Formats: sequence, C-alpha cells, structure tokens
Amino acid sequence: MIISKQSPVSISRRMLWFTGVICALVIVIGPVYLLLKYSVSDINSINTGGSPVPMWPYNPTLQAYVYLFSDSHFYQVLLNSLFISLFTIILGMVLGIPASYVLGRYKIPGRKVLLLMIISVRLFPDIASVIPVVEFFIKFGMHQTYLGVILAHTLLALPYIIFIGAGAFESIPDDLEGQAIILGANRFQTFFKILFPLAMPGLAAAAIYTFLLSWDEFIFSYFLMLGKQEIYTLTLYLNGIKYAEPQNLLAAISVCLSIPVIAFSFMVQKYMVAGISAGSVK
Amino acid sequence: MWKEFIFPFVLAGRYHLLGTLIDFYYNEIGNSHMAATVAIVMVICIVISTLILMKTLELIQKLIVSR
Repeated sequence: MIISKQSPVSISRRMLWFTGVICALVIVIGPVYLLLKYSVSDINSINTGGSPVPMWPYNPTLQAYVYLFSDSHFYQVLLNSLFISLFTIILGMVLGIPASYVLGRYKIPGRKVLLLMIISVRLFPDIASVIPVVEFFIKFGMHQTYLGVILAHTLLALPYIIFIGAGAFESIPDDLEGQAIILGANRFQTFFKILFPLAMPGLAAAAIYTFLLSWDEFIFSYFLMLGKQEIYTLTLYLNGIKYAEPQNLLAAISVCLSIPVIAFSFMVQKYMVAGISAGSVK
Repeated sequence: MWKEFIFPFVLAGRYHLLGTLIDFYYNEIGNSHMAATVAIVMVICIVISTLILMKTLELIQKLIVSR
C-alpha cells in the first residue's frame, strides 16, 4: 500500500488555490443569487425594520412574478425587446455576412487595416456617439420608431459580426472552394452549400452576441425612445421603475431580462462547437 | 471608466460624470450643442489618458527589463 505524503508547501498552495476558486465563485454567483433571492422575497424579508436582511426570504413567494405576468404592459415591453433583437440579428446578418465573406475570402489590399478600422469603431464610447446618431435619425424621421432602434443596434453589432464572420470564412480551407468549382458549382452554390454551412459556428457566435447586445442595450434605446412608452424595451421599462418599491418586482424583471439570454445561448450552442471543418479536405 | 454611463446614471444621478452630463444636456436641458461638446471632451480625455497609460507602462517595462 502506497501512502502519498504531501509537503506543507503543496497543501498550502492547494488551500490558496481553493480559496481563490471559492472567492471567484462568490463574485460570479453572488449577484445572481441576490437577484433570485429578492425576486422571491416576501415584503417582511426586504423591509426588516432594522434587523439584518435574511440570507433567504422568510416566506418565499412568487407574488412579484404573478403581478408581472398579469400586467399587459409588461408583455408589450417583452415583445418589443424580442422584436427589436430578432430584427437586429436579421439585418445585422444580411449586411454583415456578405461583408465578412469578402473580407475573409478575398485577398484585398489593406484588408487587415480595414478590419482593424471596422472593429476599432467599437472603441468609441456609445454615450459620445449617440448624439450624432440620434440627430441623424431625427432628421430622417426615424426617432422614436422601431426601425430607428433596430438600425442603431445593427450599427453597434455590425463590427462584431464582420470581424467574427471574416475570421470564420478565412478559416475554411481554399481547397474546398476549389474542389466545388472544379465539380461545376458556381459562386452562389459554393457559398450557400459549402462555405456558409462551414462558417455557421462563427456566424452563430456572432448572432448570439448580436442578440445579447440588442437585448441588453440601454444607451441608444434610451436616447432614441425617450418619451414614447409604447415602444419601450425591457431595459427602459426597468429604468422607468428603478426607484419604485418593492425591490422584489425589480428583481423579478431583471430575472426575466436574463432568462431569454441564457435560453438563446443554450439553443444555438450546438453551432458553437469548434472544428466542424476538421477532416473535410481529403 | 471614462465612458461608464449606466452605473453613475442609476446610482448617482445628481452627481454628474461626463457620460451622465451628456444625458443631462441632451435630454433634460435639450441643448445638443453642449452635449456634443461634452462628448468631444470625453473622447479627448480618453485619448490623452490612454496615451499617458501606454507611456507609463512602457516606462515601467523598460525599468523592469533594465534590472
């Protein structure tokens, strides 16, 4: 029988590593736990009258969710968010895929500089770029409209779509395209039957990112929609009642804001599996 | 941190930072000129502080390598 002996240094290293992992977990899970806790808290667990707030509510209740899902305005807001996010994905993909195909597959002079310039647009702060965009949209009558918000969100997402998409198209071996052309396929067939399916994981990642960006976006939505409650998104709805009591309602809305993001990521995660093109060249 | 908007907007609405000042001028006062000016100042601040940070890091790197 072999008994392994660990030196005190290795034990203390492990303890340190373990403590670090626990701290990281608390930092990541802590806010989510607090959010969930507040969303199911009864009023006595929030307004404790000076005594410490309990780690878990005294009488957990789904009252906040019941109230929320009986409010027709909430459904309207939810649909607005979904509509804007989905159309942002569609418009972003329609504009971004051809651009990323060209930048990924063709050896254009200055291609890398162009890609760098496209992605560096996103380094510009949103709050600074929102003024010219909103002024432009006001001039063209797109202020306080769905189209204006969708276009603004597409503007924010396009650099990422092009950058990720160009990488996805670039990673596909040239031989595949060459073989398809030799076998008689034209450019469109090669694109739709060979390149597009192989670039799918990268494009799906871009779509997920676009959805997350549009669903969570606040600054452009706020400046473009302010004053027109009928087209408010979830983030603006949350902002409108941020100081309202009780806090469990705010937490319930925040949970509702987070759930579609998680669900959408799970739905398209199969496309995120890397190496789909591995071994496709003989 | 220069461009942070949401946290100061929600947590300290009365004490403006550059980001919330843009919102104040544009949405509350309706002065788009001032809002655009603040936006330009913010961009200049970001560029200057980035350059200073980069130079400082370069200097630190040189100091560490020379030792």
